[in-house]
Amino acid sequence: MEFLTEIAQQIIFGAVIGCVYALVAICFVLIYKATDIINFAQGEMVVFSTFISYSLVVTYHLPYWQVFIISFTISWFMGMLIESTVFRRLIGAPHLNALMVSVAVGMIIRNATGHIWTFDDLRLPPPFSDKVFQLPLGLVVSPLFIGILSVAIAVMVVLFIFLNKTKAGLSIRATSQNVNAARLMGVPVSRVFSISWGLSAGIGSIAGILIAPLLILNVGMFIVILKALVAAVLGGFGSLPGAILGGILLGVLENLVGTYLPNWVKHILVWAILLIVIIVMPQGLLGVRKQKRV
Amino acid sequence: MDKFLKIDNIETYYGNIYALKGISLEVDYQSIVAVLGANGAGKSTLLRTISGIVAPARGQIEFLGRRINGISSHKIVKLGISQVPEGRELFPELTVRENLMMGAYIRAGASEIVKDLDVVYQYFPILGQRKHQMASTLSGGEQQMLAIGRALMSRPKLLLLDEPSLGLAPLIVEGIYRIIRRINEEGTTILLVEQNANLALSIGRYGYVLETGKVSVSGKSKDLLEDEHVKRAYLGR
Repeated sequence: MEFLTEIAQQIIFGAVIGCVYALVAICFVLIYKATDIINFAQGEMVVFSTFISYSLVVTYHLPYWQVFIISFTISWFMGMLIESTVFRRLIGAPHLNALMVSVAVGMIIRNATGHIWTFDDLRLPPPFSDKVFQLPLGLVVSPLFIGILSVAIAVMVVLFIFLNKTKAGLSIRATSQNVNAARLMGVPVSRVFSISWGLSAGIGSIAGILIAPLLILNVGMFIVILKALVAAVLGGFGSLPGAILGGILLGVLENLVGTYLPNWVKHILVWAILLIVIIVMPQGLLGVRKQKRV
Repeated sequence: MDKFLKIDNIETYYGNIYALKGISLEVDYQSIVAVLGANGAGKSTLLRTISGIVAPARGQIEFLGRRINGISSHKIVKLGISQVPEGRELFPELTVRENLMMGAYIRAGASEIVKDLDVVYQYFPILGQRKHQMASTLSGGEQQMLAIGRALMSRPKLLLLDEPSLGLAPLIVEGIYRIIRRINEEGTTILLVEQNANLALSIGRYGYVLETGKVSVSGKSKDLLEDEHVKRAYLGR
């Protein structure tokens, strides 16, 4: 019984982290679907946003709800800026170019972050209390975990409504399915590209605020964020529901392995999953067949 | 009065290919004009150039007295030119209704747009029955109907049709051409690109024949139907 309780507990912890992976996986998928680019700078973008949040919380003492909004907005414009200054110029170029450039952009952001703030470790105070309380069956949770879960789910719901119920959302989905047709409909597709980047950067900033209190905030945090890429691949790259499923699965799996197996297994687990999924089932769990034409 | 659409000696490169080598063409208000030609003659490039997807290297396109070459494709849609592209180019994982809503992307006014959905469903009742299905689940004929319906949703003054008969059974083609004629009778000017010369000349009053990026013959459809070269090369007589 005690063993089962512990497993359940670890699954809950894993799912909470998994929800944050899911958010970042969504960022990868949004940019990939809109522009066919796998954005390796995503991790550094999230870290940069999290440092902005750190300043807002620690230096300017703003309440957390304002931090979420301001950080989201600044990150949104940062995302659009990166798209319009760098990646828009690579439309039509070989995919490999955009991929390599995204690595370079990540390096630049990582160093800029360190020079603007610090290369040392910081602690982002949690947005919700991390004092645990008892649940039935001997489980424990903290308001922080409930808060992370709630905010992550709220972001996914709002995104779902935006994509499926608004005209802007419809035009983003249409453009990701057929750019040429979207142009013929009169969609300014470059604006759709920059909205996708803005949205990804903005959602990434929320993910950063949620996960940083559980970790150490420093420029190296990008490597944790990059695990979301594995979540996206596991779910089926290009599928938003897949990104969510992949994120939660990865979080749970990682946490269970970390609890019961030696530490080194945990450290290679995520990247081993990436290898195995790509070799054995490249379409992932909910992957869609690439279907460009009707 | 200004010509409705006047194309003056345009030259277009498509990638590295010199696709249009100086084409001039005119379309009168409320007419149907047909452009014939074999594969690779430049027909689709011509329509893409008019829609602003590719820019001509030289020459000029005037629509309603206004020069439109060099302006972006979404502005050209707003001016009233809408295209049904070759191969239909639907949004496969949007529903029929969502595809039609995308056709109305440049328009404001939700109630008018919803009314126009019903207009399209009157032209093509099968689309009304399938409005909640994904476009990718439709048959070829239904997809062509959806592509035409989608283009109509922007309320175009000029409708560009690229090979609407491609890959469809003769009976389906006949039905689609009946609707194209009706769309024209209700006031929309049509520029039609078609490999099937009989079909194109039966519906258009005026025709142009494209050969390797140039207009080789043009004239009234009834004259083209009697032209020896056209007969031999395109009508198989």
